Amino acid sequence: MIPTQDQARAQALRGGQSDTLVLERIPERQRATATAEGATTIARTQTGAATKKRWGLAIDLKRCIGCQSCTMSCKAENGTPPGIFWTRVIEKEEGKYPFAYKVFMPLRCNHCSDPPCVPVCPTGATYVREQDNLVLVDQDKCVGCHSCVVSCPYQARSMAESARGYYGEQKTPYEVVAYKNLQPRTAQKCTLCVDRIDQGLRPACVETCPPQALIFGDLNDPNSPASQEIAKRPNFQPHVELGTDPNVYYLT
Amino acid sequence: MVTGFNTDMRRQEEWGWLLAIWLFMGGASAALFLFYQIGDLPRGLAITSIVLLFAGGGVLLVEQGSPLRAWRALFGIGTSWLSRGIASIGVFVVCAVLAVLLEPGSGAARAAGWLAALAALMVVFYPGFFLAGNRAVPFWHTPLLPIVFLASALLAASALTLLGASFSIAIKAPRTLSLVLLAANGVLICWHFMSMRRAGAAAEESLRLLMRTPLAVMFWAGVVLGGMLLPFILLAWAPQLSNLAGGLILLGCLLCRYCIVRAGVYVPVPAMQPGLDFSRLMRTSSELEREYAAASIGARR
Repeated sequence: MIPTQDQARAQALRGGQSDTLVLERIPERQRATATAEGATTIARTQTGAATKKRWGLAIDLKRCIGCQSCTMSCKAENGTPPGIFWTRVIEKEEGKYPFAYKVFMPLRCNHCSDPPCVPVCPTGATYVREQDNLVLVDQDKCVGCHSCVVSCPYQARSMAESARGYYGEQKTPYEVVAYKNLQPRTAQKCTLCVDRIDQGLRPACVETCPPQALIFGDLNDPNSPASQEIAKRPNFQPHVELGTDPNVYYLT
Repeated sequence: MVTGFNTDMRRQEEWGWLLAIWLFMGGASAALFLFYQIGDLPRGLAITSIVLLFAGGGVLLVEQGSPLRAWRALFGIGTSWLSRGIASIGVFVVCAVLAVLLEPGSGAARAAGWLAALAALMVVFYPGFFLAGNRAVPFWHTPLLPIVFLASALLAASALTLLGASFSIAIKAPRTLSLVLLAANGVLICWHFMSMRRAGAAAEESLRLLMRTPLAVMFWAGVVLGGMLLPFILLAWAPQLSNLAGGLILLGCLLCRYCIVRAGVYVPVPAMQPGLDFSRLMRTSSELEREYAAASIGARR
């Protein structure tokens, strides 16, 4: 069986081969995600100093066509229950006839640098990962108080009320596997595909986006594709006035 | 389409009756203990306060998705108001029980009583800070909310005392206090609503929910008319009906908490935030053709 591009890349990273060899196998635009240490996420900048990663996305609104591929790939990757979407694309009408047009805006957890969902958590279940900025949920600790769900200005958190699958109580084999990671009545959200990132892969939504509107990278690295796009294009951060310092930038 | 795929403003659906009942019972219970401690009221009111808190605590546990993990809620005291509130409830219960069980007038009972009163003050205040800390819901995100909740809790406690007075001659009905608290509650709610008129689109939507939707019936009939105006009239001009006034005030306080909780509307989705200019996204056919041509050349290379 021929391994997919992702599998080959992950295998190369896990194989402990030299950094140069690994990076050579990966297309240039994806190199920022494939860090030298593979599973670890401490990057070395051009100066050689170790810095913390700040994973983020630049979302090109000129390219997004509202196809919901990211929505579906997220569901396929994470097996989220019915009615729960860790990422979604909303559409808004702009302008007036005959110059009307649609704006498509993918929404997700912004993995904020100052996340409002973390301090409100009474159990410490919601946390920012030490080695980077990923905001994650330890579902074994979550008490299901809804505090984080309500505190998120991006409405990016959800709670599944039951463990029902798409076809009722009888789960499909895929759901049986996927639901092992998702406990009902606890908070869940986009992890930016943390497992994939740790393997040196890009998030599933980024990988799937047909018009490549989602650009992933380390925002602390000025050479990452995301940083470069943000530097050269007009952009905005969603609800930056709330002081969350989101790590998602929308390019216009 | 599933909710959340459109640009409409969304009301929070996570909290409803259960949280409102807890906020009401917790606030009323703690404020009642404050009255007991400060006003030197009969011990029965302190016992009522503790029973009320236990009942409310049960409701709070049911509201949690995984109540068996509730003990973990003590781990976030450094940052979470919910955690601080739960710690305060623990201190309050222990000290209040000691204050009731120990010999009245003894030093230990007095110390436990005042410690319980301090914890009770925290139990009264924490829900306001807990909700006001939410930047995502402008209707709650105001320093006025803890004061609104404090006033509402004191009013509920005064109503409980009014009801207690109809059962025991040892309790003097606090009619004047109730009248003052009713007026204070009215002023604070008006003040809160007035300030929300300039707090952005989400806050305006919250006001619209309270003024013109089915929630408005509950607000106007239950909170304003039944919970404030009618009891005010009864207490001012028909003191013999003060127990009826007390019951109406309690109902009004519960509905007030529910209305405030249910009227929470999230800030608009990013596409709708004010001041955004999407005009750069509008491209003519010739522009698109040029872009596609450039992209196809890039792909061939």
